[in-house]
Amino acid sequence: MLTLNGITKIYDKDYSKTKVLDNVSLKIEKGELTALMGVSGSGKTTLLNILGGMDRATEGTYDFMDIQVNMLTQSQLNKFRKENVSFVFQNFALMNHFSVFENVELPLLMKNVPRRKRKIKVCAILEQMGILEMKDKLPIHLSGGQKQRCAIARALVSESPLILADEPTGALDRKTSAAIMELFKEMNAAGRTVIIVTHDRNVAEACNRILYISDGKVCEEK
Amino acid sequence: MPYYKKIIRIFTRDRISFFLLIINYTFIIFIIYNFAELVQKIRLEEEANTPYEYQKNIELIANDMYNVNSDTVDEIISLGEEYSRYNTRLILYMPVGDGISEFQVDICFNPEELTRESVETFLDTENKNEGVYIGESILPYTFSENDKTFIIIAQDIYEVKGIYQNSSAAGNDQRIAVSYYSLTENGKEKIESKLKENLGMEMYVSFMLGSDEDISTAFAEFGDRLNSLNISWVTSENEVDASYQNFWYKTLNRLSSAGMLIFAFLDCYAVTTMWVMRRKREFLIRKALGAGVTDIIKVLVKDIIKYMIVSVPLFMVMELVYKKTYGEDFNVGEYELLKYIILTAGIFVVFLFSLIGPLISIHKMNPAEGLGGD
Ligand SMILES: Nc1ncnc2c1ncn2[C@@H]1O[C@H](COP(=O)(O)OP(=O)(O)O)[C@@H](O)[C@H]1O
Ligand SMILES: [Mg+2]
Repeated sequence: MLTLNGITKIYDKDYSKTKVLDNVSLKIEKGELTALMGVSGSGKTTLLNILGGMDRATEGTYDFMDIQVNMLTQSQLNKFRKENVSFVFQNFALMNHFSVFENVELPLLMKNVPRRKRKIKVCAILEQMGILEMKDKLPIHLSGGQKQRCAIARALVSESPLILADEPTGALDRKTSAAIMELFKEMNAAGRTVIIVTHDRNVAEACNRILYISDGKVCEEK
Repeated sequence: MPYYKKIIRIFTRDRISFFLLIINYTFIIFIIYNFAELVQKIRLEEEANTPYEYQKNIELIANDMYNVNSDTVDEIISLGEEYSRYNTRLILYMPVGDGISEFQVDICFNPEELTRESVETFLDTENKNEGVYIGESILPYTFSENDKTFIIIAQDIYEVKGIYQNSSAAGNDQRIAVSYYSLTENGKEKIESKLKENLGMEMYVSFMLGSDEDISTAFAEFGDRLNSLNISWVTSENEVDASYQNFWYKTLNRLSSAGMLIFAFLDCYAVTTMWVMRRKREFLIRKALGAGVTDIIKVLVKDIIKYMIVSVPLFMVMELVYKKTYGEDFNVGEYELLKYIILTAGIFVVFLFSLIGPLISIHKMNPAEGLGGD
């Protein structure tokens, strides 16, 4: 489903260049549940951003189904993200002044889904996540686990084919992270391609493929 | 969640921004509105080919009013005709006795036909629920029926409850109010005798006049008319021409309005920028989820409209208070449409321009840098 070919990412800031990704080539098939591991600062988030069309690689090509992502303009990239990618951010990235419902509703709003349909969909997802009773609360009133569920609900609601999760269990205790992993597995079973960045071996073990990133190179484990 | 709570939430999502924006937007609308009103006034001026200000004083010194006769009254009235379309006061000063006191004829030219309101505001009558109190000068226009006295003011019949004799607001002021529309020979005589009667006394006579005459032609000939007056008005040296005041007043007014408009624009720009920067994270999230520039504009415009819903009524209250303090009318009459077009366009332009900067900075934001990372 997605193919990276010779992807290199160099951050060029304040006269110092950092090569974060070095000639990475990678193929991920539709319906895979992939874990991406690596030490802090190894470039996991950078790779995820490139996969999600949020950042551009310095070199290399990236094909997503029949879209050549590295050739897209900025507004085409926005559209690409809107239609194909769901992110679960490392720090939840919830809008603080908006309720749980409004946060989860956002991707649908941007796809111009009608109001009634939005309500039905969002409530169904929140129910599934077990935070329906929190729907009118602001994110500051939620616990870490609830925030994460909210962030995942937002990623789920738009039904995009690719889900990118950046350390979705990082802030959670073991029991909650196991429950969250079940959710990702469910999504994956429903046919979506999922890539999870994690430090946690248990989480990685639950996936059907583990990639390891170090010194800008990505290699397969197992 | 109850509906009202939802609405409150929508408005108070970000309380600091909410109050800051509401206050600023209210002021901005207020300034733009007053600018629009000024433009409207200028249009009116151009239309009348003469300065349009709320009040214009034309002061004339009359050397000799001792020979008051019916010609004098005619002259006063014809002067009144020429100014009758404007909110103009014609003040005639005359030295009295030892020359220290003065006799002042204050003619207020009322552009409208005598109405109940105009009479009331002229202090001459006083509205009571049961009827009206009138000044003695309008007495000739009353009629009696069944031992009761009535007066017709603008097609309405009022019962006359009482008559003021030399009604006065401040000590030695004595006022006569005359409706030119219904001025008869009888009324002229009344003015004449009033003037004669009070010669040598400090006196303040008010004439309320109205006319249908085309004022632009009359006004153009005004200078000639003044020079050809056969009574002994001394006009040249002592006439205090209102135009000097109008020029400076007008210039100052326009400059300050333009300054205020620039201030409003800068204020709007600063406040909007601050507001958007406070929401930087939110916009980063929206961008990360695929929002394009049009989506962001939609969000911003929607929110501005939301704040306007609160600001516009607030502005209306403010404008009302402002107008009441300055005793101005809410309604300037003609060119109302022009005013509202300018108001709407002004708000539109100011807000649109104030959005440009924030939009560019949102456009430049990289969600990968703002949101990702450890
Ligand atoms: N916007 C950026 N500008 C410059 N350097 C960056 C930027 N983002 C990340 N980096 C650097 O790239 C490296 C990889 O970062 P990141 O992908 O966030 O790692 P990880 O998610 O694996 O912890 C780090 O050394 C980091 O300092
Ligand atoms: Mg990271």
